[in-house]
Amino acid sequence: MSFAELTGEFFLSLLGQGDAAQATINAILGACLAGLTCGALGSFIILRRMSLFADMLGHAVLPGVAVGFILAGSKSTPALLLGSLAAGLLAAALTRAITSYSPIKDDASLGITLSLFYAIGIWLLSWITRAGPELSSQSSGLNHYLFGNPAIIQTVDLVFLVSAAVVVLALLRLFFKELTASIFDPAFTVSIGLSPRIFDGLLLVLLTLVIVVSLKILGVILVAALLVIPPATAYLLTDRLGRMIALSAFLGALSGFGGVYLDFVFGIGVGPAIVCLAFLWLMTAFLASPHHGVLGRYLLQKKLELKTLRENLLTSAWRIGERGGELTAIPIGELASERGEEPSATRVLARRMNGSGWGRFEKDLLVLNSAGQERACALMRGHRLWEIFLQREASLAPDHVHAGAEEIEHFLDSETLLELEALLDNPETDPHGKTIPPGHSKGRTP
Amino acid sequence: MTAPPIEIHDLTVSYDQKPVLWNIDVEIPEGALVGIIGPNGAGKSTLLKACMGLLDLSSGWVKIYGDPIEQQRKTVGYIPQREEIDWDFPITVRDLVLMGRYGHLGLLRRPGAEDRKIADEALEQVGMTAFADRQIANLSGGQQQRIFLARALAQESRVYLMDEPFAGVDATTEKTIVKLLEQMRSENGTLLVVHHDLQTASEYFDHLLLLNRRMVAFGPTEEVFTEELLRKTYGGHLTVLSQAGEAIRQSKSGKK
Repeated sequence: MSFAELTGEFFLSLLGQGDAAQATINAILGACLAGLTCGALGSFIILRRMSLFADMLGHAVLPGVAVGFILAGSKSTPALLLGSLAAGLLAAALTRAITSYSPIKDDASLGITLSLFYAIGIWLLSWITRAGPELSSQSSGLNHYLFGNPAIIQTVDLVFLVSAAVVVLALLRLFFKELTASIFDPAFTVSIGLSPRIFDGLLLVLLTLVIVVSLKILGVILVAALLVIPPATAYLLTDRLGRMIALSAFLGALSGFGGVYLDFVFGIGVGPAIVCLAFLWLMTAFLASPHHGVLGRYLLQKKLELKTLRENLLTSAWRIGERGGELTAIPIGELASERGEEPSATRVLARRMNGSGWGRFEKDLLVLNSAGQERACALMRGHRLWEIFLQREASLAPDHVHAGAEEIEHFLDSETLLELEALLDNPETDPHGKTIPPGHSKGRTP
Repeated sequence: MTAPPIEIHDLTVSYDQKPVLWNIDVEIPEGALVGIIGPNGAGKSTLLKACMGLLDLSSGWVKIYGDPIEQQRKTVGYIPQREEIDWDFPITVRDLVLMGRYGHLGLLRRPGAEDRKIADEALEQVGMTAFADRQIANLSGGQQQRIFLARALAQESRVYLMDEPFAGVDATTEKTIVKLLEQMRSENGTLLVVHHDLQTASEYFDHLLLLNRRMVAFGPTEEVFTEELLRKTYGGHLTVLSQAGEAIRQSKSGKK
């Protein structure tokens, strides 16, 4: 079947009836719920720096699944959930015990517990397959807990997922300010009479709960991914915790939905599909985030470079103007010799003045309008005031002050210039004897 | 006779079974602006943490207006040292100051309009209203210190414990903080402030607590800021001693 046909079939089954359609719907619901819940809780988890801990817990619940199965004699969901919960809490306790009673640090302790419990889990699973027929016949499908398989989601699993979602979201909402305070400032939290330990415990219990109900979707190996990647994405996109949680939940659900779809069409496995999709959003945010994104910062950098380039042309033009040259239209040749470069190079730079609002390149001339001349004046003023400042306050020799002023002139706004003037008692000439251009009463901020 | 704002009795604190504070005994009077001074490692921060109940005590107790700290949470505001904060945390300036109201709200209740008003007033007092909606990372050191002060003000406490509020702070902020401290004292607050600079210690505070693992002296600044007592406090720290000597000379020559 072609891609388009499969896509069509996928969306049709959302409306359809029958077992196949129902299975798809269940998978979508399950994945979205898991994504939503993991995303919301995950925001607190990454801020509390518990992400690796979540990964450990994800692996550590495997023996719980096995034991639950052995004791119940079947894949009864409540039994497996209880077993997983017990295993998770036990693993957390062991991790804490290792660091409390020995010099072994957190990361090693996590590695120890993760490996141990996971190994026991694998061992128990293989034991089950070799055990007597009553157990092993029931056991097919336990493997799904390793890698996740939303295709086997049943109504009872959905009930647990919804309940978990409701409980987690309600508790997070209820204790939002206490959780925030205890993560951000534990000392302050203690000082107002709350115990950060209790809220750490709350996070731990919620974490185990969420992992346990999400196992069938993502499996032990990948379940921690939805607790980390969507929140990390949201973290890059917003500065407010409330929005971060909402965004993270949304991204988690979106990844869940998308993952089921991708598996339906390409057959790549739901768990991996969800995780790769979540990572795709993360990469987008990483590059494009206006505040933190790599692309955003690169573009900002380029903008700054252009501004600096144009302003350097302005100051060169001003110097020519001072010596009696025409400021409104400067021949490139003159500009080039002022700047000590080849006219061809200057021409390239002068062209970039186009679109600046300060002037343009026309008929081999740099033409400056009144705004450009004003800006040149302000730049020169800033440059020379700064030279005096360096000379007086930093005790630099007159021939040392030019380079520093050359750099900083681009960043002195009108407010700072006024302060400088006041500080230096409104000087009239710079260390080289050049006149300081007058300021304007309404300063122009660059 | 009413209980003093802070009473510390026979306080000993240990880290890993080694005592860092020995048998501290002191009563801080109402309305005092107290500077805690001493060399590095003297246990100044430890003393504040012990008062706040953040550390286990090997011996002794601390009482706030006659009651243990657990019963007086609303009465005491604590401003820790700044380095221990995660500045990338997604929280705005206003939200941070609003945290000062959490003690009054208790569990489950969310901050209301009245709380927001108090927080905004506190921001106004420290001159940070323009930054209310900014995430906390985009602030200078002095500005960061001011918002933590605002949080303490929003707590509407009567006793304030501050750990090096002047550390790494610009001159404008320093003046703001000093004014604020004096204002808090005049509103019948009692302040216990860990301070690192001897010169200004004699100017800013009306009482001084000289600490070097044990309490060397406590009392009004003029009585306690003497060469002999400072020598006892700073022991072999020679450069500090000469600093101290200079500070005494200056304060005696009427610089205060």
